[in-house]
Amino acid sequence: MKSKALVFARKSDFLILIVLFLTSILLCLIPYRNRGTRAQIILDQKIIAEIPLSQPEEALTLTAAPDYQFTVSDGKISIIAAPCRNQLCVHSGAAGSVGQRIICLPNRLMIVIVGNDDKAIPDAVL
Amino acid sequence: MRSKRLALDSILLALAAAFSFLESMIPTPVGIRLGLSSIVVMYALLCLSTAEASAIVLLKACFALITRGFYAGILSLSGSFLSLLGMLILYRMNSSLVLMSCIGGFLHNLGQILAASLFLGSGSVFSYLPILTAAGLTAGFVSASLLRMILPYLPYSNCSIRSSQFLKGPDK
Repeated sequence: MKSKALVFARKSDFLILIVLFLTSILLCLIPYRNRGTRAQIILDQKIIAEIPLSQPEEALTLTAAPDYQFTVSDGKISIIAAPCRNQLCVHSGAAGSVGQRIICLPNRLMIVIVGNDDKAIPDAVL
Repeated sequence: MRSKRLALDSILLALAAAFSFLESMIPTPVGIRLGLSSIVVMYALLCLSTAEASAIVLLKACFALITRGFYAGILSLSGSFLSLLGMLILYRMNSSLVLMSCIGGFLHNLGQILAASLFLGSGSVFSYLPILTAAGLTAGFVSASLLRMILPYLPYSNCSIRSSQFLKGPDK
């Protein structure tokens, strides 16, 4: 029967946690600088469409993913209707910077923004 | 005494399931949540036993599977199991409550990203890791503070409230 005392917080913890927190905030802010030119719609790891982001405001649907509705405006793309239950991709807003993504997991659909310097799918994040 | 304990476990499970269900109804970008059910899991881990905490995590995932579909169930299971594992290790290492809870929150999101990347067959979900890390750490800190506040009113928590050593763990 040993009783263990649990401490609420130690000073060293805050050091670790603040470093981790600031690093992650920094990583959030750095990558998305360049405006993208096209949005690749990827379904099951295959590119099913490429939508230029330069066009004026427009709503569109794709035959390969008929349950989705997308809009392009101000150089950004967003999903406005999706068939899944949680609607995460609809709520994640518009994406317009190179490398930004909108992901709809239940249907394995993904939108990736690419720029002019063309490297097919930037899949090397891992 | 055993049946009393079983009743307590059931209440905790119901509470955890209700928290996670209610949170799932609030739409947020990238699915960031506060993770209030982690308070329940942490309480079970600290004051009851590892087995009871694992059971709550497992059954909560089953609940998510039934009410919110296959995909939500898998994400719930992978996230909360990794988080529970990490918290258990930290607890054994005598870490503080805040560190345990924050790392637990971070690991929860990491587990979900791992599961999602397996599911999508691509690592591109990892671009969400920074924002989810920041969110997980914040949520972890909030849950730790909440647990500290409510713990004196809970059963099996022989606690002495002091800012540095406010809680005595379970007797094994």
